[in-house]
Amino acid sequence: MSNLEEIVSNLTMELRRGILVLCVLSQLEEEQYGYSLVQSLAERGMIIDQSTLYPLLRRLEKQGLLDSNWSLDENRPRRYYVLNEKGKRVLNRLIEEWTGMNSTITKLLEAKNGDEDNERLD
Amino acid sequence: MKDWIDRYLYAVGQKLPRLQREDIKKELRSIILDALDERIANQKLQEGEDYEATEEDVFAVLESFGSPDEVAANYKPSNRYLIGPELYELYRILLYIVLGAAALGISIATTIDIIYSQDPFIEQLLKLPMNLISAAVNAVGTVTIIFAIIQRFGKEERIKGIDLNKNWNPRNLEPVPVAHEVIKVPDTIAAICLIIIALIIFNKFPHIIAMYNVSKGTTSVTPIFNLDVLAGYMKYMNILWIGAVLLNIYKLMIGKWNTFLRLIEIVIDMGVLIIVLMMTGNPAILNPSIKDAVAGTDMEFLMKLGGIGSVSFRIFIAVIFLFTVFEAGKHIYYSIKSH
Repeated sequence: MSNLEEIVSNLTMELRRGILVLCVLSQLEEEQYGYSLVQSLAERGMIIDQSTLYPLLRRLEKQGLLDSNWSLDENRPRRYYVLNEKGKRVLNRLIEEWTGMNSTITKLLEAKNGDEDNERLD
Repeated sequence: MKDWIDRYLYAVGQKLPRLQREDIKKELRSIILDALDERIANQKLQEGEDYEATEEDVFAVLESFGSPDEVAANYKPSNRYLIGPELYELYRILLYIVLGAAALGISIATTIDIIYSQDPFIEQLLKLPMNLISAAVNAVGTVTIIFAIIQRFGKEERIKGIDLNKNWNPRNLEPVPVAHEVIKVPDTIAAICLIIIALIIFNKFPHIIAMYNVSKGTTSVTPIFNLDVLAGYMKYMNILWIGAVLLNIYKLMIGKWNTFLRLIEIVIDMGVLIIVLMMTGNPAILNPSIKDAVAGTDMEFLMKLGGIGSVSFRIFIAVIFLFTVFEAGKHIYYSIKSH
């Protein structure tokens, strides 16, 4: 049983890893600093490992999808990230991809559930 | 209390690329402090406004960030391979080539050593495995270090360009070899080693092929062959054996039997058989004093070697003869079949 749990948790982690970028980009149309981003994702039910998120932000910045700047106005300096033009275009494309994938998978899963119902009837 | 955060950031920083180190540490510090503030605020909600932050709060926050190694590794995901998948195939191929070259070099060096050194033959030969192992370790180490350096400092795009599988094309796939066409590598290497050992012993040390008679603590050594007569045969045998070594090396390079290889193999096998038959048919091949040496021992049957007199000896020769003919027949059969 624990083996099954382990497999499921590993596979779930892989699924999350795949959609992580989409989730992060979707929250950055307005600028946010690292911790506030973790919070806003968590509030919406997406709990992300912090040691994964912060490096990811830097990588997205390096890829030219995000802009960042240090804000010194508050009680401590914070680095804010925000989508730039390229990032917005990439986000829109990813949303299209996700929507397509989502409907495909939904159909696949519906078909599977249908099969199960049939089997039960037999 | 802040000291723990400094320690944590220092530990992470040690594993980070130098150029980004300070920037990442600065950002991490601000995020950790944010997380700590949040935690303290939550504790105050639960425990009341007079809650005092403790070191345990700091530890809890640091634990939620993960170990310094883990955090640092996430900042440089592409450099986590010693030898990455793009380089691995090339690494493997080069490793085999270098290992093969090292083994060949050591074998040749040892052979030359054996021929020109005054030390006893066996002592020299025993050095070979140790030399081979140390050469192999050296070769593997050197190649690995070179590839690790390329992986570590090479530009990512350049490394991707090295990928051997990039230009893969199904049109270039080799046909599947039939089982009898595949040359067995271990057999071939064993044959090369045995022939080289035979070459060395029969040419340089024929006297060690001898009767060793231990009695009353003293060992008497009587060479089996008449060395002068043997040398006469060895001229032809050497040509065949050297030919066989070259043929086996060529077999290793090609990896597959073809008609030409089979033909050469038959010629060499037959040549060796003929020489062996000639030698066994010549009574003068034996050392004259061997008869006295073996008389009365359980090795007495050797005396019959020159005469091909006994039934058992005839059977022995017949077995060698049949085996060679069978091998030759097999080669002829397969080369006809493949056409």
